[in-house]
Amino acid sequence: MMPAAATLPPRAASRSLNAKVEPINGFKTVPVGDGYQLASTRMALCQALYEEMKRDERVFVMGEEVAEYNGAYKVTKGLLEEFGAKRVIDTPITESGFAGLAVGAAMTGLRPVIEFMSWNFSFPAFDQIISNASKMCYMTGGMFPIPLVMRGPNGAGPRVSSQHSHAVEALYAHFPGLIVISPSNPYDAKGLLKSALRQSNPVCFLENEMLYNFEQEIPTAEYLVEIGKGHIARAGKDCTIVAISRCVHWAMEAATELAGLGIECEIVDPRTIKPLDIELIATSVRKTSRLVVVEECYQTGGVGAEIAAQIQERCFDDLDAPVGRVTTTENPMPYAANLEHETLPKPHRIVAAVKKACYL
Amino acid sequence: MIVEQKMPALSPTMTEGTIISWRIKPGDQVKSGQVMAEIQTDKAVGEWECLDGGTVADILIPAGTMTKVNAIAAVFTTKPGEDAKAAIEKAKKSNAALMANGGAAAAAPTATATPAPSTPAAAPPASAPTPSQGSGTNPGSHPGKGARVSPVASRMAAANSLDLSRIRGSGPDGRIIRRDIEKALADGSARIGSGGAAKESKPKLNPFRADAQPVTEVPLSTMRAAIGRRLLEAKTQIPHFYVTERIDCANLVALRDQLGTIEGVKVTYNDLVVRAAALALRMHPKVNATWHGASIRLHDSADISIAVAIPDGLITPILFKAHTLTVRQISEAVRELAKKAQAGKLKPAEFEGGTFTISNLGMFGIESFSAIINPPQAAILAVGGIKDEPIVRDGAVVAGKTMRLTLSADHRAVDGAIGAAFMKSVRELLEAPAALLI
Amino acid sequence: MPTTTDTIGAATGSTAGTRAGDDVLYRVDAKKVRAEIGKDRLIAMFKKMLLIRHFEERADQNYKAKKIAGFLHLYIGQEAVATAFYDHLSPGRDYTVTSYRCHAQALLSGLDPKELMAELFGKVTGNVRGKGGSMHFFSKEKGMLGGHGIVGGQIPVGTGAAFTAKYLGTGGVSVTFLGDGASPQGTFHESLNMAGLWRLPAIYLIENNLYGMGTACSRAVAVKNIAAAKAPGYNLASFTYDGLDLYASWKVAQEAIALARRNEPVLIEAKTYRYRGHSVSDPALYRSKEELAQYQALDPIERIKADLIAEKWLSADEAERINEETLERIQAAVAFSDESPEPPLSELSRHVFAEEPNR
Repeated sequence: MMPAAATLPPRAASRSLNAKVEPINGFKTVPVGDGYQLASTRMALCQALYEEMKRDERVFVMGEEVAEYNGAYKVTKGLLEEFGAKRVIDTPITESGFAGLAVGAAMTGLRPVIEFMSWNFSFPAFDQIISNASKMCYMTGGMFPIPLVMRGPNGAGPRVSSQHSHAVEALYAHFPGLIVISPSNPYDAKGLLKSALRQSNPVCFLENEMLYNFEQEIPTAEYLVEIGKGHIARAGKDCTIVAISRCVHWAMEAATELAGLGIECEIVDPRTIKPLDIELIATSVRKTSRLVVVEECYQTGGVGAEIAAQIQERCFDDLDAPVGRVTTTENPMPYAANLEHETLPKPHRIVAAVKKACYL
Repeated sequence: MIVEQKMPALSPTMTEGTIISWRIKPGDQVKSGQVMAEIQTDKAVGEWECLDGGTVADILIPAGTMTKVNAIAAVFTTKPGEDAKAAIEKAKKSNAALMANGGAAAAAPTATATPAPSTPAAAPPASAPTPSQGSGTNPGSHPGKGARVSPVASRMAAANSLDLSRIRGSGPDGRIIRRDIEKALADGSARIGSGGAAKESKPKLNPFRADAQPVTEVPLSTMRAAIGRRLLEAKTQIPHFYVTERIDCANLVALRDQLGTIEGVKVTYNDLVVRAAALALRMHPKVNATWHGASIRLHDSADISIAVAIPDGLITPILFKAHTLTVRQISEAVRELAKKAQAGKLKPAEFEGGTFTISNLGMFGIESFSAIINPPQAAILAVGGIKDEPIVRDGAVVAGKTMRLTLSADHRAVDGAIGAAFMKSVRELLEAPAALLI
Repeated sequence: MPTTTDTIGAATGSTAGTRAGDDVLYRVDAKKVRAEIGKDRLIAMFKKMLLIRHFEERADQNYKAKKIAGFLHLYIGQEAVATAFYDHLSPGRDYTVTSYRCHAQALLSGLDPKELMAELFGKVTGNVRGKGGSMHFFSKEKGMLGGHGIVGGQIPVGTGAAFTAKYLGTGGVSVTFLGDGASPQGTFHESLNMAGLWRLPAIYLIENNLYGMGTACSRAVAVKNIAAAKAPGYNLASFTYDGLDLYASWKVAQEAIALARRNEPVLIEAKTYRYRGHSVSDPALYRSKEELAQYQALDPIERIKADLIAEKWLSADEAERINEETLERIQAAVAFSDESPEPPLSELSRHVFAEEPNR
C-alpha cells in the first residue's frame, strides 16, 4: 500500500555535479548518489506517471499530443514507448469529449489521467468537469466516485497574452467535489501526483509551465506527499506569506530582499488548494500576526480572498494588520512585456505588500 | 500664484499646535515678515511670521483650533483678481487627509485651567503622568473613541495588563500595533499597577453607580500631552539615582539678608542655589552632561534650565552660561524668563537645549523631594524650603536653619561618587556663600 | 407516420455510410420479428412497458399531489425504444447512460420501482439516497450510468464506458440515449468522432420525439434524418426507424448491438413521440391535440397487447391481470416511498468526496 514516508527531504540541485542532464528526459532522471536523483519538475511528473502506470494497469494517459509528440510540454515523454498506444492516447482537439470520456471511464473502473495542454483549454470541458466529475459521487449517493486526474500547466506562460494565461485554482476550488493541487517544485509534484492517482476523487492537478525546468534533487526511493498538507518553505517570524505554485519562488525572492530590511518572512506553500491546510497557515499567522497571500488568480474571489476570510475567522485576535493580497491584477493578460510584468504578482509587489503589513 | 500658508513647527518636537489668534483676515495684503498669527505649541506661544506675502484669499484653520504641522492654514493669492477657489478646495481636502492620517486630531479648545502658583522657580515635580485609573478609563481595553488597536495588540495588551491609553500607536491613524506593544513590554511602560493579573484588568464600570461623583473630563492640551509623553519617557527609561544633602543655611540666610538691604537688588534663595550649582557644574563637568544613547556629551557651559510653573503645566526656560553670571544677573534673568513663561512668550530658543535643571518647591514649605530628570540632561536638582531645625554645631545642639537639596542623576551618565562630589561642592558653596559673590 | 417519410428505405448497418435522404427508414416484417422474439420475450417486454407506463403515471399523480417536486420528465409514449434495446443487453457487462428522462432505463436495468419512486419522493431509501431526484437514477451493479441533467452531458460519459469495455476487453457495449435536442451539442459530435476514430463498442441512440423541450426538431436541427446524415461524417454505422414500433426497435437493437460488439460504433435515430410535455410543468401548447391523438392511436403498449391477444399468447383477462398486478406493484412502491424516512442531515456533507479509502 503506501510506501513508508520518505525519510529524505528534497534538496537543491547541485550544479557542481556537472551532471549531464537532458533538459527533457521523460521519467529517466539522473542519479546523483546518496539516494538522490536530479529531476526537473517535468521529469518528476513523468516519473510519477510512469511509476503509477507500472503499478496499476487501470491507469491510462489521454490528451492532446501526449503520446507520439511526447506531450506539448514533454511531461509524458517516453510513456508511449513504455506502455503502448492502448494506455497513452493522443486525442483529437476535443476537451469536452475526452474529459467526459474520462468521467465515463472512471465510472466504469478505470483510473484516467487526462492532460489539458493548458488549463486554459479546460474551459471547453467545464461542463464535464463541474456537472459530471465534481458532482457524480454526491448525486449518486456515493455510488460512483470519480478517480480522475486532470493535469496540465496552469497560470501565465511566457508572453502568451489574454487567453492562455489563466490561473484556475480559485475557479475549480469553488466547486465541492474537486481536489485542487498546485505544487511548486519537483519533489511535491511527484509525491502529490502519485497520491492523486491513488485516491478516488477528481483532481485538478495544476502545474506551471515556468516551473517545468526547475530542478531539485529528490529521493530515488518511492515516496508520496499527502494531499491537503502544506509545508513551510521558509521559516520566519515577522510576516507570513502564503504563496501558491510559481508564486512561492517569487515570494522567496521577495523574502530575501525583505530580510535585508530586517523583516523575516515565513513562507507557507499550501501545495493543495482544496482541501486547504488552513491550520498550518493559522499556526504561522498566530506566530507572525501578519499575512500576505500571493497567487496568480485574480483578486475577486481568489484563493487569497478565501484564505483571508478563513484567517480572520480563526485568527482575528492574532492579526496586527489587515491580510494583504498580491494577485494577478484584474485585467486580461496583456502581451507587452512591461504590462505583463506589472500584471503578475512579482516580487516587487510582494515586497510592497509585506512592508505595508509590517507598517513600514 | 497661489501661496499656501502651512502650519509651521515652531519647536523641534512640535507635531501639532493651536492657532490662538489670527492677525490677518481675508482681503488683507500681507507682506513678508509680517506676523500672521500666534501659535500655541507644545511648549509656548509663538508668532508666525509671513514668508511669502500676498492677498489673503481664505483662512482655513479658525483660531482656537488644534491642527497638525503642515496643515494649510491660509491661502494667499499674489495677483489681483486671481481665483483661489480651486486652491482652497484642494487645501481643504489636503487638510482633511492630513488630519485623518495621524490620530489625535480633533479640535480641542486651548487650555484654560486654574492658574498655578507663578512664583519663579516653582514647578511641580513628577506631577504629570500617573494615570488616573478610577476616572473612567478601562485599563487594558481600547483607549478612547478614535484610537485604533490591531486585534493582536489588543490581545497582547490585555494579557500583559498594559494600559493602551498610555501607548502611542505608530500604525496608520495612530493604530496601536504589535510593535508598539512589544516596545512597551520591553521598556516596561504602560503597565497597569504592578503586574496585575490579566483577569482583573477589566473592571466593569457602572456609570450609574449611586455613589458616583461628578467627574470633569479635561481634554489634553498640546502642552499637557507633551509633558505626559516626555516625563513618562524620562521616568520609565532613565535609571535615576538620588543624592540628598542637608545644608546648614546660617550663612546663606545672613548673606541674603545683607543683599536684601541693597537698593534695587531682590535676590532669592533660589538665585543663590542657581549660582552655587553653576559653579559646582564647572567643578564637576561630568554632571553637566547630556545623554545621547551612543554617547554622552559633556558641556563646557552651564546652561541651567529653571522649572517654571505656568497655567496648565510647566516650562523650563534656560539661563545660558549661568556660570558667567553674577547673583544679581541671575536674579534679573530668572525673573524675566519667568514673566515671559507666564505670558507664553518664550521662544523655542529660550527653552530648548539646557544642560542641567533646577526645580524648586521651597516656597510651598516642602522639606525635600525628588525630581524627574529632564532628558537628555543627566541630572536635576530639587530644592526644598529653608526650615528651622536643631543642628549640631561644635558639639552642641543649637537652633539652626537648614535646606535639603536632592540631586536626581541618570546613572548611565553620572556615577554615584560623582553625584556625591557635586553635591558636596554645592553644600560647601552654600554653607560658605562668600564664594558665590566672586 | 405523420411526420416521417412513408417511403420504405433500405436498412443500413454498414460502415460505408448512409445517404441522408428520405428513404432511410428501417422496415421490418412484424410477423417475422414477432416469431423471432417469441412468446415469452414479448410478454416480458409487454410487462416492462406496462411497468414503465404505470410508474410514470403514478409519479405524475404524486407530483400533482406535491409528494414529488423539481423536474419530472416522462417517457410515456417512447417505451418501445428502450424496452427493445434492454432486451438485448446484459446489464452489468453492458453499460447504458441517458439524459434526465431516465425512469425507463432504470426500470429496464432491473432496479426496484420502490427505490426509484422513493428517490422521486426525496427519501433516504431512494436510489441515490434522496440526493438526485427524477433526473439522476444510477446503478453501478447494472452498469446504468445515469441519469444526467445537462443536455448532451451524458454522451462523452457513454463514450467513456465504451472505452472501458474495449480497454478491459470485456466484450461489453455501451448504449447512450439522447434526445434530438442534444444532437446539436458539441459533446455529441466530439463523442461520435472519438468513437468512430477509436472504433469503440458504442451505440448512440437518438430518441427523436420531435421536440427539444418546446422547439420542434425541424427548427433546431439542420437535417431531417439526424443519424443518416451525421453517421457518415464520423464513420459510424447508422439506423433510422419507427420508434413506436417495438418490432423495428427490437430488430435494430439486435443488429446494432451485434455491430458494436465487434467494435463497430453505431448511430441510431428512433422516430418516436412523447405524449406528455417536456416535463410536468410543460402543457405542450406547441403542438395540436390532433397531432397527439394521431400518435396515441399508435401507442406501442396497446399495439403489443393487441398482438399478444391476436396470437393467443395472452387472453384479454390475462392481459388485464398483468396490468393490475403491475399497477399494484407501483402502488406498493408509492406506499413504500410515502412511509420512508427523509435523509438524515448527516447526509448533507456525505459523499461530496469518495468514502472509499486510498489505494
